Amino acid sequence: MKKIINVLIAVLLSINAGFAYEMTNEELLKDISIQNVIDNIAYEMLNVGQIKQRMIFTYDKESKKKLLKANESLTKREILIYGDVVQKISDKNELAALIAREIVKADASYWGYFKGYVGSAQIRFAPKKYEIYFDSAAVDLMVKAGYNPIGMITLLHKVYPQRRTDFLSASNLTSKRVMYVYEYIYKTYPEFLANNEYRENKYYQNFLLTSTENRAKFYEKMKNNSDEKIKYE
Amino acid sequence: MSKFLYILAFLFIFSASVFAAEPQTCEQIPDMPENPLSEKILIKKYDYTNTTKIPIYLHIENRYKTNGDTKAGDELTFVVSRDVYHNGQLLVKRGEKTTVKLTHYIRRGMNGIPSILILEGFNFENIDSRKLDARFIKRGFDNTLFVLPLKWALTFLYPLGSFANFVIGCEARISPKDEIIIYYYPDWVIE
Repeated sequence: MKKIINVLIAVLLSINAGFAYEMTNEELLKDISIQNVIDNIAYEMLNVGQIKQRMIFTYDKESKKKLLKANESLTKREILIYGDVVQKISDKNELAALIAREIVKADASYWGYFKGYVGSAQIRFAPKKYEIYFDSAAVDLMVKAGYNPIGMITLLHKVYPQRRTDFLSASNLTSKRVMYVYEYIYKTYPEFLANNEYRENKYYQNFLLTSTENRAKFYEKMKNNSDEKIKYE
Repeated sequence: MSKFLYILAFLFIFSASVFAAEPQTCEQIPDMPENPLSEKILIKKYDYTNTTKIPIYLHIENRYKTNGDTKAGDELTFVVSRDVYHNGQLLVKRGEKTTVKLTHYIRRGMNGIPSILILEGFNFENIDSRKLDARFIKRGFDNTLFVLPLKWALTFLYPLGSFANFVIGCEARISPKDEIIIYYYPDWVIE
């Protein structure tokens, strides 16, 4: 009997060892360093932006599984930065843009009745309404923390896909969002466009190429000093 | 053999120059306003150890209500309601006016979502605005509070519950009677 139990324990232990995730030191150090970079940028932004709400930041190297995961930045104020998005980031301004946007979102989850329960529910119901605010408020936060807000344009341009239409959709067309950010930077922080460090950046140039018509509409509006809202495509 | 290598190296360098990025021409931006980034926006050093805070009581000069024409950038004028003192010294006098820009505006929508106004950038003559906890958020009445229970209650009478989606939220209003409090932290170190 004793022998059988010993064999069973040995089998059980060997199975457990089989399931254990083998993580090399290099992988571990890489994850820790990405987490450190995220924390450094994020907490600096919280301090500089004088945001009094608590939130934490977690680097998750898995990609987001939309149907299975709740939006934790709204429920637990835990901001998950996913590995598949981090892979697309090419400079610190883009990473700052990604973090700033999530900070603004988590901050907004504190608004409204019942300690933000109602406000968070509204953001879940109608993310389209809040998206433009999150983008532009994140630009403010980036500028306060000393980052170049053009990074927000290149980030949105690279990370979010382009649907056919946003009619009856929960989110805006990415081309619209990017133009609203461009418009916001133009009106609020024009010096970043006047002395544009991203002029020779291929992602920014691709944004310029794909937004030619939208920008023409915007420049026309600025020339005419019009307050009319432009219908971007 | 070495000749062959030289030729290869030459071809490689020559072809690389073809792919090199050429300097791009400037995008044509009409009437770009010259507005150098205010040094006041950037915060390089901070210390939030001190907890002393001084309330500044304000009210809006004229009644304000959001509507279809409301947009970010609109200006609202507020008036200081009470004198503000620190260490016996008058910092802000009652009646002083401050004009604040509407930094962000979220339009009302279905499911009873109200309009939301976000005001930042309160400025007073004797106060460093970076030491103000001066973000003021005003929401319209939240119709979501009755829309959600109504929707759930009507779920059994399909499709009546879905009609609750069409309840629109309220506009945000600021009345001169509304007392607005923002806080000044005189001993925060911000550079």
